[in-house]
Formats: sequence, structure tokens, C-alpha cells
Amino acid sequence: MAVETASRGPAAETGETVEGGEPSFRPSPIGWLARGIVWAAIAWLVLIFPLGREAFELQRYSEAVIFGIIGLSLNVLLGYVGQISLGHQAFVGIGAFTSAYIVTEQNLSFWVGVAAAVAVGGLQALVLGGVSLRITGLYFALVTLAYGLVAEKNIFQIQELTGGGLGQPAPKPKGFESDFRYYYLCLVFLAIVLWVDWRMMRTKSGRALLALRENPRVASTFGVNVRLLTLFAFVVSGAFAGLGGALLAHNDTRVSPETWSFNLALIFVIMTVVGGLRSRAGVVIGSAFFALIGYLLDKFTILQDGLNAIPGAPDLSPEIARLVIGPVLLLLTLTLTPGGIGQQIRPIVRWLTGHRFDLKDRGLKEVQISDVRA
Amino acid sequence: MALVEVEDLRVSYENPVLLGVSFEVEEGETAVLFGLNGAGKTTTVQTIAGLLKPDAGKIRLGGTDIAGRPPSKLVPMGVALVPEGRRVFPALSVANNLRLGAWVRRANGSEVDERRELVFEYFPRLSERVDQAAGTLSGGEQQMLAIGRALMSKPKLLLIDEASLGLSPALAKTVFQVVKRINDDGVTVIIVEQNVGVLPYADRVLIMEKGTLIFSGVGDEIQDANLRESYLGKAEE
Repeated sequence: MAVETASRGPAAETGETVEGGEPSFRPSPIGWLARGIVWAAIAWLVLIFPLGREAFELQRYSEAVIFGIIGLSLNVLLGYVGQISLGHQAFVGIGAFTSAYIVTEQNLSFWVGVAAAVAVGGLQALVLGGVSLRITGLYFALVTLAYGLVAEKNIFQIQELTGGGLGQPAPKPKGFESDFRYYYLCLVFLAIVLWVDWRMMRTKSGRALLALRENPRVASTFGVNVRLLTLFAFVVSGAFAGLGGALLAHNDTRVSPETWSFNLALIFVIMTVVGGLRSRAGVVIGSAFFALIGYLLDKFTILQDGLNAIPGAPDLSPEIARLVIGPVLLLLTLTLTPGGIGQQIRPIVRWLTGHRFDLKDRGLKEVQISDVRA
Repeated sequence: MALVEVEDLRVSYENPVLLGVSFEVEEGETAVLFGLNGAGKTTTVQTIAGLLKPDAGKIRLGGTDIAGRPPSKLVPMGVALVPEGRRVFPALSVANNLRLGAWVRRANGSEVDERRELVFEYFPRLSERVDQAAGTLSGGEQQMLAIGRALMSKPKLLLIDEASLGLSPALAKTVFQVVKRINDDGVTVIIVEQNVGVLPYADRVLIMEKGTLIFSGVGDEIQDANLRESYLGKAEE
């Protein structure tokens, strides 16, 4: 006895397939040419444009790329599992000091330093998550907040690790001493993280992670070990954060304890949400934007001039700018476009990957504030 | 032989919800758990499925005490739950929802494929929607997906919480017919229901009220007119 339903869903009526896309649509040659031109423009912006820039500008671009990695790190936890880390600056900072310590104090290579930072990032998450992932949501966020403060007030004060007030030197690796070469190295690491993230979400565990975020209780009814899988995501997130920290340290060639304050943890969370949870492109763009806010303010003085024209308005230094602009963008994101930049650029991303351009295509299910169980 | 034996089951949240429930379901039976809202039906099946830990009592599956074991241990033993309100994962495709249902069998790809084909035999509509996001399915299709997803784990015992909730009478009947076919294929079924339209497909009827079992009957016992009117009301024609 076979069953046919009496009613048909909206997609059935229109013949659309949401995850399957539009199997019948193939761009025309002109369509492909247009896409090729846009791809070339993006490639020019990312690969060619930085070539002729000043060293300090290249450092900022590298920082933007590294922030992309950190954003992706937080996206694993926040976007895929729905858990907030308010102590992510600790994972990034410890990764930075680990790599700097390995290179400077142990005279080992940059590659060993990076590998150690990744391992330490994952290990921290394993230990912290193993202890704390019995609780989730707001309480888990509080645990990570406490861990961030412990790192800030204690771990980052260990003279042997951090070099004290002067900080720890973190030279650039051999063959990548110039800022533009280091920028390309960061791009390669970002590409690797994007690939790992993409592959991970196509595995059975990746699908289970998405199920956990949607409904951990229902996922558990299939035998999914919710705690173990959440811990897995936390470890991946910690490893990515450690990598980001190591790259940041060597980008600035010195890493100082005062860099890793709670403010930075807030910026990490805000840039990920504004970028768009679960949207790799959105998260990278959002994170890069937050890394470049100070640079953009210096470069384009209209905003600063406008603020100066307002009597009593504060001077918008880069650090303050992030903390002022960030919450405003966060508020706009949560109220107007919960899917962040990723939701806004989805029609373009879909078009670039060979689908029909559809401004209304903003994703099946917009990211909801309740996605974050806090 | 009883596949499921529930003995003096007591569960509480802040207040006691189950006050000592006992019943048995024979292997190969379809048992229907009736009762008003708040009677403890959902709590009973969720406790059997391992989502809730009992305060006291025993739950035996094929003679093994499983009370308090988590779902990650129970699903491989053959217990599957179709949760109330269907709870499909809306952003995932039908195919991925089904793959998640086969989580405990994920190491055996050919077995997963076989189970999927079986689900498509029961519900051909799903095979036409395989790449479609579950959130875009109709209510009836989502219920089929929820049942199909539970079948992916190759259960011996299928627990269905409110199979007909939100479905038209015709569609509910169709779902009951498929559940009967699943049962005929050897799966023991316990359905939580408020719709008496399920009665023709039931081998055993359990009626709950305020955390206790007030009636347990098989076969013709439930067809007694007084009983039907006393506990269940008249079936809609």
C-alpha cells in the first residue's frame, strides 16, 4: 500500500527544490561571461589590489584575513551549534602566545608554532568543554566569559609565556618576511579553514551538528550523542581560533598581553553575527570589515569629519569605533536582517555559482535570534 | 511474549506526572495510548525512549531493563521515537533528515540505502521530495518524513507521539494505514493519540488519566460501546 498525500506543500506547487536548486537552469554564455567578470573583479581585489600597497596597509589586510579565520572559528560554535563563547579572545590569545613562545623562546620554526597553537586551541576547548558542556546556553556563555577573564588576569600575566609588559616577539616566518608574502600566506590558511569547514559540514557529523542546533532533544532521539558532538564542534572552533591567534601574532611581529581583553571577545561575537551565522562568505566579509574599521576611518575621513562636526562627539579611535559601530550594526542585523551580511549577499553568491539571480532568495530559513540558545 | 513491560513507572518534573503506570505490549502489536491533555501519555513514551529519567519503576525491552538509559544507548537496541509535532529539521533536505535518522547505522552505507528505499516504499511522496528542504513540505508530508526518519534506525519498537496531530481526517487515516503496514512488517508500535480513528488499527488500547492507567484492553474489549463512550467519545465518521 503506497501513500500519496492529499495536500501538497508550497514547494510542490511551484515545482521548486530548495536544497537542490534549479536543476533546469543553466546560464547563457553571456551569463557565464558576466559571472566570470565578477569573479575576476573579486580575484583582483583580493589578490592583485594589495600588491602595490604600503606595508602598514598590508598588515591591516592580513589582519582582515585572520579575523575571517577567527570569525569562522566562532561560526562553528555559534552558527552550527548555537552556543555563545564570550571568552574567545582567550583561545585566540593563547594561540598567539603559544606560537610566539615556540618560535622565540624555543627557536623552533613558525610551522611548529602554528601547529602547536592549533593543538593548544583544540586542547583548551577539549578540557573546558569536557568540564562545562553539561550546561549550555547562557550558563555555557558565562563559563567561557569566566575563562576569558581568567586568561586575561592570570594566563596572560605569566612572564615566561608572554614576556610580561613588553610582550613576546613573534617574527614572520622564513620566506614570508615581507608583508605582502605574509598576506598571501594568511589567504592560504583562510582557504584551508574554509575548505575544512565546508568538508566538515558535508559529513554525517556536520549534518548532525545542524540538527543539534535546530533541536538537540530531537537529534538525541536518533542516538546522536549531543554532548560529544557539541564538544567536537568546540574543539574545532578552538583549533581554528588557535590558528587565528598564531597568525595574528606573527602579523604584528609582537604579541602583548593587553591586546586580549573582553572587548575583543565582544567584537568577535558581533562580527560573526553581523557577518551572518552559517554563511562562510558573510562571516569572512563581516569579520574583515571589523578588522578594517580603523583603517577605513583613516582612509575615508568623511565619517570622522562628520563626527567632529557634532559638538561634544567623541574622537573615534579604531578601538572605540569597533565598539560603537559594532553594537549599532548588531542591532540593525538582529532587527532587520537576522541572517546578516550572508543573507544580504546570498542572491549574489547564488548567481555567481551558476544559479538564477533572485533578489527574493534570502535562504530557506532566516537565522533567528533564538538560534542562539542563551 | 511481551516486547515492552512497564512496571510501576513514576516520573516527575517539578510535580509528579506519572503515578505508577504499568502495562505490557506484546511483540508485533500496535498499542494505542489514549488520554486527555496532561494525562501523561507523552511523558510515558518519552521515558520509554530515554528522554526522561524515571523516579522509580522498570521498563523492560525484550526482558532487559532499559529504564533511565539515554537515547544513544536505546536507539541501537531498537527503540525509535517520532516526536510530537513532527519536529523535522526544516533547513535540511528530506534526504539529510533521513540520513540523520540512520545515525546509529551510519557506518553501514548499504544498510542505510536499503532502509531509505524501504521508507520510500511506505511513502513514495518522499522520494519525489528527496532534495527538498523539509520545512517546505506540507504537514502530512512532514509527518511521513518524521515516521520515515524514525524507521531509518531499524527499530523493533516504534513510538509515535500524536501521529494525527494537525492532519485532516483523510490524511490521518492514510498515516494510520501506513503505520499498520509498518506493524505488519514486524515493528511493534505504541501510538499516543487523541483521535479515535486509530481504533480499527489497534491491537491493544491503553487509556490514561491524571498520570495513571485507567484501562488496558485488547481486541473486542475496546469495541464495547459503553467503554468507547465513557472514555473516548464517539468516533467521527
